[in-house]
Amino acid sequence: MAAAGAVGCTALLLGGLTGWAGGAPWGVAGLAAAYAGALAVGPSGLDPWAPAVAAGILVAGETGAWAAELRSPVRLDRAVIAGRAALVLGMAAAAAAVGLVLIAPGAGPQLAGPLITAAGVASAVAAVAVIRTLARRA
Amino acid sequence: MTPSPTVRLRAYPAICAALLLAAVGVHRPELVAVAAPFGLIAAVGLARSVPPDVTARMAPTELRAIEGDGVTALVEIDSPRTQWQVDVELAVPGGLASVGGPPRRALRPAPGTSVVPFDLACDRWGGFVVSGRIRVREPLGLRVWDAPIETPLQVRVHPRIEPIRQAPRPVRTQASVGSDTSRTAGEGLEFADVRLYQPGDRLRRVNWRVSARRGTLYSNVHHPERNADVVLFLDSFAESPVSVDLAVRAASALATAYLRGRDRVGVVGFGGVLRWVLPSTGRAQTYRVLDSLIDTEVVTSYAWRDVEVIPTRTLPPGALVLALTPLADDRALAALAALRARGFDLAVVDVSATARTPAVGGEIGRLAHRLWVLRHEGLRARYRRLGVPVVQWDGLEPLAGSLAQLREARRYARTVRS
Repeated sequence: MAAAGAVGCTALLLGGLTGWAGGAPWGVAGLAAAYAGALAVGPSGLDPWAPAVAAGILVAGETGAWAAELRSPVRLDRAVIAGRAALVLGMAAAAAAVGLVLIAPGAGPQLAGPLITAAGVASAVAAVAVIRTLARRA
Repeated sequence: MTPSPTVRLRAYPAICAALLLAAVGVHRPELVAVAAPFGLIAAVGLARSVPPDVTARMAPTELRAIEGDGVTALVEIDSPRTQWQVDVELAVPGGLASVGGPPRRALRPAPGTSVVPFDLACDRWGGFVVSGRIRVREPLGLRVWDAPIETPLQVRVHPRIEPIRQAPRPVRTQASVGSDTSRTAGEGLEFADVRLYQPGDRLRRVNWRVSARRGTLYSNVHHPERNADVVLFLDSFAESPVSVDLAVRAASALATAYLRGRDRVGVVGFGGVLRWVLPSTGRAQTYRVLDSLIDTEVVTSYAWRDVEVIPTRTLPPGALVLALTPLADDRALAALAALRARGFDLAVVDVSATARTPAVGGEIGRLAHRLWVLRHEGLRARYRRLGVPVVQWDGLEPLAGSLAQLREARRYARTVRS
């Protein structure tokens, strides 16, 4: 778990320092794996910090990718910097909001049950199918 | 424009799928919350991805400058709508340098035409092609659209012209009006002789003092002012880049000086590639000659070349042939000897790198350097024996000094011949 987190942080740092484009995705994967491990061995209750973790991992990945892009020397216009910063912050807020919406049903015991589990599985399958269709079209 | 997927497009769906599977596997819905943003970015990014329809071109497409000057390359970007981010990158060749930062800019162009300036410093003479690319990035960064800048920029950097007050004068002059005093007698300013009055002589030409003394009419005759033909013979067979640099600098200065004096100047670039500019005069010829000179480069060739390959019209009779050569390649040496044998008025400026190249590598290196210098001195002596004046210019001293030596040597050589 700690190793996965360390690998994720190292990958992000390497990407930012050397311009390695794969650093950010591997960093995100490492951090997500570390979080998954922590959840697997942790207490069984719903983690209320999951939306914040989602936003944090996303921000780490995006800033890592941006840092890797900036390793090749470039003169940035102020509008580009402001837009990119606003986009990262907006994505973090959106990620937190989406996470909150997704884990909110599980927070109350009255909504738990096979129906909500089936809906969750169906939405996961649908999400992957939509992404795959779009990726194939691109 | 050519789209290419970024690492996000490959990674984010995979991360999303892996986290969703992990959520099912470990029965933790929190992982769905972590996976969802990556899936959403991939889905929304792909759904909104459309060709950006952006074009870029250079304006103007050709620039001229003098060595040491700066030029501004303008890239015009046409975009039908506001783009999230467009990266403009120029491939700046050696000899030019980007001023004020790297030759790459990231901007957010508005609809219409946006102009992106790049300041370039012209560090060295030459003809350069500056190409470039644009990359249009999407907000969610899943794909990058790539396209070259339509017309590359051509930058012609002329060498800095060394001031020459007096270039070596040709022995023979031509028919057109110029600034050389012809040896023949005719209409001109400089007094030449007196002769018996002939019908048709103008009254103002009558020398009344001599006429009164001799009892019959005598007229003054003058030396007319005429131009001359000069051919710059540029030896671009490989010795070292220093030699070519010196040859081009000297040739540029000489061509400019002669053309300013209304002489006809031509160029023969004798090397792996044969280039020539027919002798002519005027401002346009200055640019033709300078453009030809800055295209000079060392092209390695083992094919034998002699003077026969040079077009006849490039070497008009009576022209002064000024050879700028490092005296290194046998083909150029043979061609110069052949020109001398054909009676051309030949002078040689030795632009060898011997004076600027120190001996290295211990005793053997010193010996090799001495042999190299001795060979050059032997070659210069050989040309002097043929009656060809030879001077050396190493680029460290002003060219005018070497040309003054050349003028002296030519005066001495003519005295010996007469």
